[in-house]
Amino acid sequence: MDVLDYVLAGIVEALTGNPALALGPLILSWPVLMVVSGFLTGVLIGAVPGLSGPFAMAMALPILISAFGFSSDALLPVMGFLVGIMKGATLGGAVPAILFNIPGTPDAFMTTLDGYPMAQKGQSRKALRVAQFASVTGDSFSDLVLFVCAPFLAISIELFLGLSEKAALMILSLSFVAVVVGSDAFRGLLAVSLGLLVASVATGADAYPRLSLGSDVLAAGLPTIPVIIGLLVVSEILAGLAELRRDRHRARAHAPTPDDQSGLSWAERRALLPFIGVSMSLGTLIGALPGIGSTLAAALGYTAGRKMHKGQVPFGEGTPEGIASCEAANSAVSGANLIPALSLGIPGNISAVFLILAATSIGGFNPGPSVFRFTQDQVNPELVIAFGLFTLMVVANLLNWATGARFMEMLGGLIRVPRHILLPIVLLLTLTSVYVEGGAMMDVILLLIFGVVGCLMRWSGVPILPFVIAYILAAPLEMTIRNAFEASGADPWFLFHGFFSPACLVLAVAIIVFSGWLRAGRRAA
Amino acid sequence: MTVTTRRKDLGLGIFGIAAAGVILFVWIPADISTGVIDTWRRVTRIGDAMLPVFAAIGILLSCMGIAANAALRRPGADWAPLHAPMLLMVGAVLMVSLALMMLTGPVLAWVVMGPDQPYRVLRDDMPWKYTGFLTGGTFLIAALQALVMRRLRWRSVGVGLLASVLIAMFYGLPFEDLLLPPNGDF
Repeated sequence: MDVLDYVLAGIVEALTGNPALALGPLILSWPVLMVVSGFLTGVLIGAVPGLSGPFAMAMALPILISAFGFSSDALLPVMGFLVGIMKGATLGGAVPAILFNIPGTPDAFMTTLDGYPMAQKGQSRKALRVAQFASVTGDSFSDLVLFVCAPFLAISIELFLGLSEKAALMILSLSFVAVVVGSDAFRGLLAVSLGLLVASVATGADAYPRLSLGSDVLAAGLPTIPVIIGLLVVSEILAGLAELRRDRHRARAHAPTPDDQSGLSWAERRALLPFIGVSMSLGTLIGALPGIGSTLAAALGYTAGRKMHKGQVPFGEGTPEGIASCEAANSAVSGANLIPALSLGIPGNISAVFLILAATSIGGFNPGPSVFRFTQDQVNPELVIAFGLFTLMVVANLLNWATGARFMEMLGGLIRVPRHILLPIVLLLTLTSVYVEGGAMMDVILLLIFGVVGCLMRWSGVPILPFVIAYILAAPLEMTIRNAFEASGADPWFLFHGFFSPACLVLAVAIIVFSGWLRAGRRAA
Repeated sequence: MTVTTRRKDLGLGIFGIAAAGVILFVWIPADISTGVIDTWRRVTRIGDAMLPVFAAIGILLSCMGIAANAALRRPGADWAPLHAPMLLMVGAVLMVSLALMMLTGPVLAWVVMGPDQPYRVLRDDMPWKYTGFLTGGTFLIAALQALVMRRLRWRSVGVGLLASVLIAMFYGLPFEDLLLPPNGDF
């Protein structure tokens, strides 16, 4: 099979494989149905303040795995749904930001700065259209970069990097994530180390389950889904409940100002394109680096847009360019974030964590350089799945282009559910999802234990994302190091041969040490 | 950097250094059967202790960095409010909810059907398969709302019951093979 055959096979697999409905020649496949459902769910969830894409992904993943099972046919529907949520939630986050001055997701905060003033001027419909146009343009651009760069990067890595270089690259990625997430590099390193330690429990090559303390529960190994959902979602719910109890008298959102129903003309869209172009390039660049979130992308995009802007209405007082700058940047992160995830197996953000979790839980698709092997003599099924996933991302984008704006406008009335009602329901839904996937109350107890661990990490300023990324990367890192050591003939200096591997290791140490001391010194000054 | 933050950072650093010491010198030697490098039948390979040892060294170094920054009065990350009493209350609510989920079905079955009918036989039948989930779920949602609002209202109980019924229907109706909590444990 050549490249074009693989691309076509992926498209066919996504659009017609695993049919859900067949009406004569028309086939609606499960992957397409699930990406559409995921997108609509994502917009809805993103529009509800206090919920976000990762919440929905966490609740959906156990249900999806229970519903579709562990066969390779399950991969595209499950991953399609998660991709749909990822894209929809970014878009939905702009709705309450514009209508009620409440960012639905953290990265929509910058959208409030110009979105809400526009809504107050009676231009909420126009503001929503600007947000949707910028978001979908940024997202589509970022996906195109992903489609080109991920295979290219993966092929380069397969061609030029050996086992020890791959191990060194993973160590460098962990070190980078430790530094860029959170405000203290040493705490980031602590989070990475804790993630590696927890991932060590009851794993390894020996028959005895290491670090299991003689406990039958630990000897069976820590189930990945409760650990990750506990840290990311339950801790967020617990912290949110505590915060609500403290601020229970917080003022509710005001009702939106009546709208003048003005749309967005083609001339206005053209005028926004320079702002969108700069912001989506920044967002894509930031998204390709593991660990840097869309919030930073939105801030940088907004700052760049403000410098470019020469219009009558300044940034921060309700200008469409302000909304376009931050929405294009934060949406451009989502596709680019999958570049390290798919080409290296290194999750760059929480959405990528859930995609990798889905792939490894179901089996048959191991994100990493081996996915993009264009084998000629026999079919590489992982590559077909990868192109199928790309096809589903295009389907989600087309849906976003076609219906995103109308769907956003419909959500205004749905997003005023109070958080004190929402969060307990989400907690019960999360507990239930985890239980039905594992079928044991011990999974729920572990979920809650790791929820408390997440709370303690938030309290002490130790970032959670590096923990999760290290936890996911621990097994492939250990396996690569073992194989590299054996391939070197048990050479103790196996990681220090050549140029690339030592350079990665030196860089990994240097960025931790220097950023830790430089940051602390700068803050002290 | 405030005195409190500095003390907390110092505490975190010292606690982490001590924990890393325990992991490195007590837990790993006692609970892993191969070392960092393992030679068996003249084959040398990486042992199971490698990853945890590197993790523990990472904990040690990072906590030394945190403690050193605090000692030198260089600021680290901000400490968030812990809300310990609220977290303890939420923990208690969660424990009671899980206990209600686990016990309601078996206790009701014992009372109604008698001791000869084990719950395992009934766990997939109406109404038994929903009793624990609805009781525990309703309590969880109502109690958490009451904790946040500092008063219990019948409306919260209604919301809890409605949400629990909807969640039970969401899993129970389309997926026949899925077992709601706690039925998989029996």
